[in-house]
Amino acid sequence: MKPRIIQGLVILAWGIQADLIWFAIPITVILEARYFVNRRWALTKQDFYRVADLTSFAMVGMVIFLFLNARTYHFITTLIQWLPILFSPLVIVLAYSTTERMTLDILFYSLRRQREPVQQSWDMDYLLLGMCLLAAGFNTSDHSLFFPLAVIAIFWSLYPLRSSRYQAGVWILAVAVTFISAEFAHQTIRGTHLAIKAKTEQWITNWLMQRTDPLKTRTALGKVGQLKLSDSILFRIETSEGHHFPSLLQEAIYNHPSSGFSMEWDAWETNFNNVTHEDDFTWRFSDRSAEESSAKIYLEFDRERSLVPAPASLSEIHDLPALEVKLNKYGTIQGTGLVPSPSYEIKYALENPISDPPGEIDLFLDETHEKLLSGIVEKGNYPAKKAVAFVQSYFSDFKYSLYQDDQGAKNPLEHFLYTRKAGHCEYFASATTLLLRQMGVPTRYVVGYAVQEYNPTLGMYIVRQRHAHAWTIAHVNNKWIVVDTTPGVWLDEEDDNANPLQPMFDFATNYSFMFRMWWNDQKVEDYELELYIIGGLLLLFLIWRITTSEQVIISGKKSSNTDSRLFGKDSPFYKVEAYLSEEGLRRDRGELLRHWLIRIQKPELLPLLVTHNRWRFDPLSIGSDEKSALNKQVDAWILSQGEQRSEIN
Amino acid sequence: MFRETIFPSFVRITRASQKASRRTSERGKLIQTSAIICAAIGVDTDLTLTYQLFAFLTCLIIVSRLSLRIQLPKVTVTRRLPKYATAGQSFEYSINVANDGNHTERDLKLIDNPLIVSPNFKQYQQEREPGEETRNAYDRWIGFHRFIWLQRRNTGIVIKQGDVPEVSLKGSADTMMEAMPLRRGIVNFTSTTLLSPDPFGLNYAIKNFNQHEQLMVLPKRYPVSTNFELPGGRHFQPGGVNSTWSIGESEEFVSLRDYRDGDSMRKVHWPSTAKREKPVVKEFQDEFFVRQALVLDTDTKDSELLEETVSVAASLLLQTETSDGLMDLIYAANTTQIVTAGRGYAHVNHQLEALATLTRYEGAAERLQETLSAHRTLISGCILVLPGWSESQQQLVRSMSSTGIPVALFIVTQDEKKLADTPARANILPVNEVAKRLAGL
Repeated sequence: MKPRIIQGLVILAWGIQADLIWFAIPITVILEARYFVNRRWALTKQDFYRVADLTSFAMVGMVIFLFLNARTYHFITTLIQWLPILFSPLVIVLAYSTTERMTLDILFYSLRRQREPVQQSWDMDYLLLGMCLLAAGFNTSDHSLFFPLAVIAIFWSLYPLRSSRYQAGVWILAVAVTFISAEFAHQTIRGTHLAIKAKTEQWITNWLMQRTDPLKTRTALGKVGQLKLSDSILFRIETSEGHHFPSLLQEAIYNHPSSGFSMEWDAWETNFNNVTHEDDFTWRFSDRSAEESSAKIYLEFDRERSLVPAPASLSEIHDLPALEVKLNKYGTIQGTGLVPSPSYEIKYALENPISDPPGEIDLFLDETHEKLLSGIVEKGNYPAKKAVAFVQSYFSDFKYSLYQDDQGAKNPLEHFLYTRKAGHCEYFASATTLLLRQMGVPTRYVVGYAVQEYNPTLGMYIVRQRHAHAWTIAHVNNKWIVVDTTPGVWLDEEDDNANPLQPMFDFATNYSFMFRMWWNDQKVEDYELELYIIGGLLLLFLIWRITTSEQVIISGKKSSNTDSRLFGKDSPFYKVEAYLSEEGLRRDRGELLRHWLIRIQKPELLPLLVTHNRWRFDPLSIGSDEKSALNKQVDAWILSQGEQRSEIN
Repeated sequence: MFRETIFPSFVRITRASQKASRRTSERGKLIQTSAIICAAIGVDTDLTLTYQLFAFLTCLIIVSRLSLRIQLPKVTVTRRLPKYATAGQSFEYSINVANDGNHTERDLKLIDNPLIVSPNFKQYQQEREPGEETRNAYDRWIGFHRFIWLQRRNTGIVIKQGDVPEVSLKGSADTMMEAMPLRRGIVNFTSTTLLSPDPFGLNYAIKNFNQHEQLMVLPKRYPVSTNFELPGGRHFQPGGVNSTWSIGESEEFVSLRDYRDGDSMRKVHWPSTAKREKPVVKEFQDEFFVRQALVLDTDTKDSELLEETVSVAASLLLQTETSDGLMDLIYAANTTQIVTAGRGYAHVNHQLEALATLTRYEGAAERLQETLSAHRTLISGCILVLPGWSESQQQLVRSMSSTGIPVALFIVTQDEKKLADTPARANILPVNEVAKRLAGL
């Protein structure tokens, strides 16, 4: 039993839902047309294997394509939405062949080797129907239509298959009960999911409120053990030739230390203001100056709202796929409405950081810190330059260490400054920021990345997770300058900690990156001619296959191809039979023609029957003259019958 | 070790899957699978609405299960088995379904249950599934396919599900069941299962009817060329007919002749004597007919070879079946068995029954040799069917030839090339060419 009409409707529904209507319409038309076209192709197993192999190739190609474009297309969603297209050639070929169901060896390569012929088979029409329903479900924009449509489709296809044991009423009742309970069930599932999601989202956001938050950062100060940072590549920077790129990229700037021992920094009085557009994709931060360098940062944002790493003296952002770019007064840049895109361009000057001049808060120091730092230097107003020099020399004999052993130490900063004299960048940055404030210099705490690793193959700087860094900016002589007291060996130490297999991973990721760059530059229009040639060749091949393969005409509803192959189907004697049937002298099922003629008392037809039987069962012995003679005799007899009847009338 | 650990689970897995699979129709299985796929894909209800499909399909399955109780059939079921079936040849039999309820029964199905015989671990380790080497490495490692194959062979029959025609009120109808015996011997039937579907036709309610019965499956037979003639000729057989229809001497009447001295008074034909007025006696002739033996050796470890050997014996028995000769089937079981057929003794079916149930007997050739040395005076020709060509088998052939009784020798073998020193007139039958060779004798 074929799912006539409903299959077409479901395919169309999938086309509308998945936005693939221009594929859905031809598939529907072709599949529904088979009920009107009586031509079928007698395809062999080998032909089906070929189509199935083609489908497999297409599937593999599709998977590779989606894998390469994982940023543009959601992998599973797109794959499932395209499944009906991938499988439709197989279904169509089957529909127009003399085979009803598809044995599993066609679909599963492993079964083709089996010794015994595979018996199990699938009805591909139902498979396509299922795929379309599944694919249609991936459009969540139109909630109300999907459920009733799916229910109707499934019940419609189940209706002809219902059990004859029960009265129609029982079936309808069962349908109603199923529908109501399913409606309730799916709403419960959705409700439960939303509730769970709301809860988990709450936990996760609490958890992830780390450096991505422009208003607050939590340092790893006082956390015991090895601080592990991954080697994975975060982004790459391509500078215009001969231009120096700043060694530090800032991501967020904070100015307010939390009171107490857990070292947290937040930004005081921070309002983000929209940066003015120059055009749709260009944002200008400062006035144009002659000395501007430009660079391209290959960073794909995977969140809709994200901080944008940039040099301190940024002057312009270009090609950032964001709706808005915002800036706070400390120079932290945030993009909103971001969509994945491979890169953005920046322009920067060597001077003039975009941070606003210092305020009261940039000197803020609470009592605990003041007391702690008084062991080094008493609070007071020292000349800024001297203070910076003092701080730098003070930290010069400190060591860099990723490992923390300050177990039991209540105040990690105290432990760092007086006992261990070793730590990672966050210790140095926090201590420097606070110490300069003790000496009356306004400071801010900055997190970002160190740009150090240059890859000659790519011709780009590479920034890894472990290049994340923190430092201080101090306001000296009406200018913000970087005070980075972390010992210069920190990058080397980080490199030493790198995974020994890292070069291998880098090789793979760098080449896949280069391939993606190349792929993104390709346009279908560039390959128009090639595509037309391939398409043309495929079309020619298809036409050749169709015209040369064996075809069978099916009669009426039955697809019994054996009938049409019988000899003698064209014998005129059947006209006699048809004529007599109309007269009410029907031949019984299985009754021999001879017995029938004797029963209805038409002995004059017996000689004609002899010729007919020869035509039918010994076609090689009968010549065209005998055939035409029989034709004439039959016509004459029918004519005579007509005359007799009119005479009687 | 690994196999030993997982082996018991095979039994459990097959039992559970059989139980589960008969409760659900093909359509039902499709719906179940779809529900699982939908559940897997639809986990994220933000991404897809497939969870709605999952909810619907699950409800459909639940409603279908619940509605099974609505209208259970009230019927009695009786199986009618034929007397014999043949290994490798499908046959039909009927199961009668009588309606005891108060409405017409429609859309019922029947499953007939043979006794499932799972292999034991020893058998599982010893035997190899034909074509096992073509399976992939994982399948060979686990060995589940071999288990399934052994279980099927031990059980011995595959029976298709039968559709019960409409059974009218208080009426009954025969359901035709199609079965395929897989091996010779006795097949046990345990019960018949009646399936009645739910309104959607997804699941079945199950009712079992205990019906213990046995079916004799005769060995597979091949057509044997009509050119094949039995070795040897007719021979005086004193025991020919007397045991069947009279007491005393019962030779064939030939003619009347004049009395000669020494003729028994019992042979005087009194009416003719009266007519001729001198004594006339009846002349008789003793019976001469063929009595032959088919000697079957069953000493081989190779189960496939044994089966083929038995099939060859069965084919030859059928081909040589005549009404005026005797045929002894001689094989070794615990004692040497002789089954005689022909001339009113027994029908060839009895011999086939004997063949159906015989098993391997170690040292069969020696036993047969002993028996034949006593039996050889009775027989005028002998067919020897041997699975292989070992020393003891050669000895058996030599001792038969030395008696002067003509012998037709059939050697069934796995590998024709490995045989050496076979007699020139021996018929060699490689296992995969038995049918062809027998037809071309």
